Amino acid sequence: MRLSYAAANFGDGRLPVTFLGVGDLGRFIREKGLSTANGFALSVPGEHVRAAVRGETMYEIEQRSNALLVALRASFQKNEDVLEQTLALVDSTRDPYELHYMASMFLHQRAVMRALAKHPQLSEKTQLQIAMDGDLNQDREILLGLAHNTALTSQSMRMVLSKTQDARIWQGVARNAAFQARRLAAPMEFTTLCEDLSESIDDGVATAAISGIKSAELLRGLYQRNNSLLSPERLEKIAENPNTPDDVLEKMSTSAFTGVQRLVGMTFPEQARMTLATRRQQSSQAAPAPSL
Amino acid sequence: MQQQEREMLAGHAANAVMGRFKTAPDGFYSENVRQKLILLLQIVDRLALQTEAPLFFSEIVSGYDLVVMRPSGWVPPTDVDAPFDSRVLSAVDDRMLVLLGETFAGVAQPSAGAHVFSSEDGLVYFGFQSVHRAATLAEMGLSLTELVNVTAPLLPEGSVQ
Repeated sequence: MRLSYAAANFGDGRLPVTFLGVGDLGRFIREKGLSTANGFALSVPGEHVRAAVRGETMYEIEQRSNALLVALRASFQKNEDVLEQTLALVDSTRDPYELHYMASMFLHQRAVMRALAKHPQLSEKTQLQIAMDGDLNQDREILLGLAHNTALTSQSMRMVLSKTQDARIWQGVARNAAFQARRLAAPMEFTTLCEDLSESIDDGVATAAISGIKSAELLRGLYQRNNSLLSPERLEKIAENPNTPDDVLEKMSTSAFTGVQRLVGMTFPEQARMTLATRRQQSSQAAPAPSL
Repeated sequence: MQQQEREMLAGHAANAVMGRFKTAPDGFYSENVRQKLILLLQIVDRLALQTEAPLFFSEIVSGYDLVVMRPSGWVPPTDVDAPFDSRVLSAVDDRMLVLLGETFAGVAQPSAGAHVFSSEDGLVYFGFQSVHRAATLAEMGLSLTELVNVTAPLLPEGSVQ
């Protein structure tokens, strides 16, 4: 029997299961007398089950990379094909160990390292290994890939920053840190990094970092400093930050533009009004209904 | 669940996955998907036999949760486990499992609720979209308690790991 027909032999249509809407589930469970063990179910992360099913050993993972590396070195005419296969492997794998092994084995293949630097499953160990390598951290594209990688930890971000003065890379890290700070309530490392970066002399870096600041006092200080410096983008970012204190937002919303400010199209008063309105709407929804 | 039930379910599911390809992939691929699903169900059953509490698997495949429950007073059958076959495990990456999840969650399931499979040995399996997790678990009367460090019991004896 050809293997291609094997699966077809086991099913010829609909799955042999019934579908119950949410409303019928509870009744079904009661009728069948299914135990709920005091209402608690043990929770198992599916990723562990999938990992066991994948059943690959480290040896197998390493052999796959080794074979590609040997082929890459041996091939003169089909070099591009093998490289393409290697890049496809980087793209398809989600195993941090495999990525780390590839980062060690394909150290001198810049195209592979550039693809690895962007990979969203890259472990901190691999991030640091790439950022600390004296050759790799001279490659702007690799550092840019790392800077924008959402898997980057705060420690790796600081390592990337310590290896370059390139403004575009710093801005990438600042945006990434601000994104993580907004996304995660904890840990606070990303927020701290944003606070540090907001002091940068590079306008783009400082502006990008403002979105990740959570300290109301720091935002107040930034407003006072930047209000006199004509930094429209920074003022916009302060105005849209949900942690900016009410009094600062009120001041911003009633700011009178100077001629120059109007000329450069500043809109932070509108933004401040919107932030205030959103906050008031949220607090009125959260407040308990008045009792009679 | 008995081995023949696992094979039947996995075969149906593998067909559903394969049906989503515009061009038919290599046959070895589809057979491997089926084998992986059988192993997945074997692992689920192995865990289900170790506890009396219902088991909740978050994203057993991408976007799809699974709950296994047993009736009160259920006695495990003596011979439910087939030997684990690790020979075909390394050939398929787990993107096929993701695709399977999409197939179940996106195509096969019309709305909030669960697919129910009652096996001949008495265990009942509920599969549902992860996006409807809260409502479905509440309707089933379940709260979750974390089971940590499950990796070791998941690995079957004689497997490749």
